[in-house]
Amino acid sequence: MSAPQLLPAEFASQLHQLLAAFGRQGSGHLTEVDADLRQTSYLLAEAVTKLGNSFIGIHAATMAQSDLIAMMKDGAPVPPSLRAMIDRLQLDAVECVNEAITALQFQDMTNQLIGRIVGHVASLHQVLQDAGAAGALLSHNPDNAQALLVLASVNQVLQEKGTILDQVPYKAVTQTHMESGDIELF
Amino acid sequence: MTKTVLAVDDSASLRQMVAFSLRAAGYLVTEAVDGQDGLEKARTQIFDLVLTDQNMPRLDGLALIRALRALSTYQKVPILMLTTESSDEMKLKGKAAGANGWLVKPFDPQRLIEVVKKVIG
Repeated sequence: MSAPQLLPAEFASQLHQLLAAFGRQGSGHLTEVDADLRQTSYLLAEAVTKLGNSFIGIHAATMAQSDLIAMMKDGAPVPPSLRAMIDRLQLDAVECVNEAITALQFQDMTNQLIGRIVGHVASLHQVLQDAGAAGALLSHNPDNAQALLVLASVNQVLQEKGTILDQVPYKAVTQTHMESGDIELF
Repeated sequence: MTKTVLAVDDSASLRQMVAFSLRAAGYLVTEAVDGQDGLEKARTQIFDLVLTDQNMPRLDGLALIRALRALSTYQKVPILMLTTESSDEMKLKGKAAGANGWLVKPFDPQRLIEVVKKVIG
């Protein structure tokens, strides 16, 4: 068995650059995608929980009011305890509506996060397409010079696209909870 | 006299929540779908308060505020940002552009009403 041939230094260098660029850019995009997906998941989970609780609270108030109306229709005396309970439930219902309105704002934030995710995925897809297109230039039996030219070409494309992460919409959403945000009057 | 509010946000659901909350408190709310729409509406009517998002297509919140402050009719009208942005850097930009306050989303309807009452009564 003959000894393996060493790659020319320049070839190895270009190959190293290529693999490093793929690793860096791919990892960069996917790290952002991972973070944005987790954040989206937290916000959705809290929003759904709040909306569920709000629905239950509003339902309880509505049912109690229905009972009151039924009693009044039947001419039955309404016990003070029921009136007091309905007053309390009405206040609870207002709070529930406020919680629901806060929770319903999840769509605005998750839409922004999803927009970023789509941007990252599209950028990564473009990088892979560009590399694939450059690689397709390789003939079936390239000599070292041709392979080196193709590698250098792919590396140049990756370098130019290296700043693509800056072109994705920057992160305006840092919320991880659906709680009312700060208010500041200047 | 009923106070008027211009609510500017490219999110339809957000506009709906703002309008619902403020109308329940007795304010007349006009909605705008982005900064450009907001500017056009502001040119046809002087609102008592402008409530605007930051990240919007066509004209973002900061650009809208600067454009409004350039109008003689909007020199003194209170303008509040209602945005997901919470960085001190952005708040400083907002203040420099002419914003009178900064509300971070999501908002609580009761707190929103309180701050609007504080600003325009």
